[in-house]
Amino acid sequence: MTRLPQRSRSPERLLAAAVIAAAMALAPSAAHAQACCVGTGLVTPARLRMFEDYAVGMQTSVRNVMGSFASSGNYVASPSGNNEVDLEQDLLAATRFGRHVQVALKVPFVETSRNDTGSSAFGGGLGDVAANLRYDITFSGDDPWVPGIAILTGASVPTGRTVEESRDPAGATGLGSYEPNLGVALEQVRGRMFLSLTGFVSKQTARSVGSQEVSFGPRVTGVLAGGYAFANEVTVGAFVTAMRRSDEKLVTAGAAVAVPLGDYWRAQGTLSGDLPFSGWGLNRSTGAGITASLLRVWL
Amino acid sequence: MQARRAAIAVGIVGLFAIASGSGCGGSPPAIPPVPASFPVQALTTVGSTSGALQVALRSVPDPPVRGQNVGQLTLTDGSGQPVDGVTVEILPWMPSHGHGTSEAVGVTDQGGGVFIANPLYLFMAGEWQIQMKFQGAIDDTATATVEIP
Repeated sequence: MTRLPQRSRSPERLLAAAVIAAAMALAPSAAHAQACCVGTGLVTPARLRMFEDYAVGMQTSVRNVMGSFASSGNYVASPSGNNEVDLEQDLLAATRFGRHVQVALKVPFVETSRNDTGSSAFGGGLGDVAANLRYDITFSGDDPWVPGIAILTGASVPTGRTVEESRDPAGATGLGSYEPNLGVALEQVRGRMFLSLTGFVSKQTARSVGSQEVSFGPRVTGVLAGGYAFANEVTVGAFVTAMRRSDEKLVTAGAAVAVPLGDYWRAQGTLSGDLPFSGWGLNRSTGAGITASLLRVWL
Repeated sequence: MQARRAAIAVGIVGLFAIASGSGCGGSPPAIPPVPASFPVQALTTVGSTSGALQVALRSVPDPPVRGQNVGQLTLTDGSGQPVDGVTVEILPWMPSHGHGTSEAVGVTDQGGGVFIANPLYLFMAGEWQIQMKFQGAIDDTATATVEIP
């Protein structure tokens, strides 16, 4: 296997890679839940490092719904006999345009298994495809005091199937309208530790259901992540994601590990759960899940 | 070399596209049987938008559950008399998520201002609106709210 150029393995680059690994870990928590209602991930896990030109990969996740937040904010565990499992497999691709710009594409394939009173169903299909663009203004590790700053933007496209279009809600795989987003990411490293803070505003465009025109308020999402990169580039991290839209609210926490498999492959696993504390959520189901992804990169 | 990489990427996308085409929307659940009786106590009673109607909503099971439910609407006027000669359309709606449900609600006129709504397929936990539209002897709308655990 061809070794990377020495310049790519400088401590700064290793640490920057660690930050990138953390950012990769952020996507699954917000993405793999209730395909009918929750937008596709704001950050694609196929983020390129400085010295990478292309990447393709696959990601798979499973999430078990355990309860829900009522409109009052009270948490209620799922009644006995009711259960829902959300599955997702994603195709990921990314490419770079110069030093500062990279774009990524995520093609999700979504399935839901649901058992409730009087019905049992399984369905799925193509979800809402999402494209993201990242513009790095400054890079983490370049300066001890100036963090890496990036502008993030993207959109999901309604390629999935809505609840109303499905024979059963388990077959719902998409929102039914576009959801553009705009955000900013700050990243900084200290030694082998890293911290990142990402904020997004997204807004689902209006859609028609029968004679009804439905509009949506802006969705605000914040992600705080931190972790540690070992000398062998294995990275461990933890993150907290908070989402708010009109009368919806949810806080999710998780842990992630990213493992380089040689110079051209990366594997990552994420364990995440929505925090089931009354008052911490509104009008949302809650659950816990795991995600695993594998990326092939080209230099 | 770059063309080969691009071809690989396009091929993978194509495979996913083919896989996606085989996706299914699930099977519609069976419509539950209409129960012989409904609870005496209404789940909720709401006034119509114009104020001309009172709509009492009952359900089986009571309270409604995640999944299949059968609803009963009782329409009365301002003096408590049953209202006949209207047709009723019902749309279950999750306002916070901005979606309805996959099953159209069948409405049967039982006479005496009583209507059966079947199924009320409230498939997700959270706040649901039961949106009602009345046409005929009176044109009006009403919305009842139920919480599904």
